[in-house]
Amino acid sequence: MNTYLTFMQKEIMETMRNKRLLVLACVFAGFAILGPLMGRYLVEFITMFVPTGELDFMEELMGGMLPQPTWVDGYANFYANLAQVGVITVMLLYMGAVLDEKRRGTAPMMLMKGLSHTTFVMSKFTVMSLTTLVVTLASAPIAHLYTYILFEEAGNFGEMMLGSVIFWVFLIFIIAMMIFFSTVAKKISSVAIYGFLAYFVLIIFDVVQHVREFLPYGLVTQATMVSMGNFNEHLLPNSLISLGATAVLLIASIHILKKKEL
Amino acid sequence: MSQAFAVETFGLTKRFKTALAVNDVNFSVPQGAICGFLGKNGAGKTTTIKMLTGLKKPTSGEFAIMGKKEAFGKGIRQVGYLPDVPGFYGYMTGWEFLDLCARLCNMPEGERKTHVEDLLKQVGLHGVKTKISGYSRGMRQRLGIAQALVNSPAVVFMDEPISALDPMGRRDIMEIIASLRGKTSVVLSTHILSDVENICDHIIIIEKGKVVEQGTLAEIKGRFNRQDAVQVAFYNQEDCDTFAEAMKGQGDFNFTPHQMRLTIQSDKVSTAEISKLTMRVLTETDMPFKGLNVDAPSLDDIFYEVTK
Repeated sequence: MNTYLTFMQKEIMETMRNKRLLVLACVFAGFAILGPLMGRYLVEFITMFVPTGELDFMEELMGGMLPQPTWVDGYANFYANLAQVGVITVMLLYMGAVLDEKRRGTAPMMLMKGLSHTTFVMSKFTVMSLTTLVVTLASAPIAHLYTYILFEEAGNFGEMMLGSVIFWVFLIFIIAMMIFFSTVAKKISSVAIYGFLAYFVLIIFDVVQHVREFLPYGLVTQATMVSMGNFNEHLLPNSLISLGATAVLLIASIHILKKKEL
Repeated sequence: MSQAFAVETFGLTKRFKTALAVNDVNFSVPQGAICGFLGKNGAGKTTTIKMLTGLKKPTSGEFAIMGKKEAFGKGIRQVGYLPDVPGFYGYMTGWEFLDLCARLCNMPEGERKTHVEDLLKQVGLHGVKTKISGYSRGMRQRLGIAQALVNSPAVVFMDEPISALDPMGRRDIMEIIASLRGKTSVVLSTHILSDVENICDHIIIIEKGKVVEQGTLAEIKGRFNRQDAVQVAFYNQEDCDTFAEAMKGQGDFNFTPHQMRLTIQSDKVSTAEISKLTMRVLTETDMPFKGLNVDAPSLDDIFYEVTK
């Protein structure tokens, strides 16, 4: 426990001094503002820049006038942006989690001092998860407030916060996935390739209705729905599967790291 | 296994996919010794050290640290390790880094601060407030030594700690290593043989993954039957030849002339006797000479011979 706390302190120091927290906070806060803004003005942008003939054609395709934006669009855009740029930022920031320490030679140095492989991985995971929890929980009220300012109405604040926690459950799966690839791979480029491929596969499977409900990416939809006050029966199994996958990835990372020569 | 040895290996072998890096290595390092671990690039020094620090898994064989058998993957508490290029957290100060290491070693808080301060003083980094990212190469090596000593290990392995340093930095690091004599056993891998000759009391030479020599320098010299020799330098070759002729009548010597220099050796007569005789012949023949010295075989000579 003592070494766990000590190494967590080191990870917190690294997050602060290497400006990871700042980068994540800027990205998440940025999309908390941009998401509702895009939701509010997207239709106006379209009508402003698309020629009248093409606009008529678009309206015909959609079976009437372009829908007027509501606060729901503000929330939906916030989560859609976080699920893309937010997740990619998390992947980029954490893809060197274990590999950087192995390459730099600090991992063997720390492990030789009595730090266990489990503590090494788990303290990294804990700090990364807490960092993303802080920025996610901080960005949700911003998105909520900005939606209210732009649309003069918004959803339930508590449900928005609950939605952001569900989104965070998806983020910790992404963190565990990057820790796993960072443990397995020998090059940082390989970690990036594996990470983006896995993310791409998750997005592709999200299109399939009955598979989506069992994959971690489904939590993005669940987070958006819960924020809007819509709960469905897939929320619990979806969350549990994602948490289970996170645990499996972490256990596998620890096991592989123990077997690896440094 | 013996308690008298800091490090012992028994048939230690490491095979990579295509190469046999370390091949049935057996050696022992006495407790408290500063041991020079020598070998050409690719001879297997780093792989051996990494196995002995528990960072690489031996293909076969065993090893013991301070009489206790150790294995891959288990933190070996009695060992300190300085890699050839030590890595640090650049955003920390030296003090913060050592404090982290000491805390991971579960050092009590009261003792920790003093220990870290003492280590920083020992390696000459006390009072340096700069972040490690701003350290010079020499400063990094010093900090590397300090972190290797933070758990007060019984054995410290240092993998080429001076290879990339300037002469001043090299001297400083060698002084720090020499100061460990008697307190900690040191296994020092290096290419700089003169340094090994100066501070090491035990030597292991490894070539193509096999130990080809080990022991004290005197023992190794003895085994190579390389006696000291008397060398006389002349101003011209003619004097050199004349002197060789004059010496031939004085006893059973081996002469090796080379570029106006004559090296004289004997199995039966001591170097002191040869020197005395040489001086007498030079005086009697009134022959001008540039210089006279006793040429002892160096570790370099032995190293080249066993690794050629």
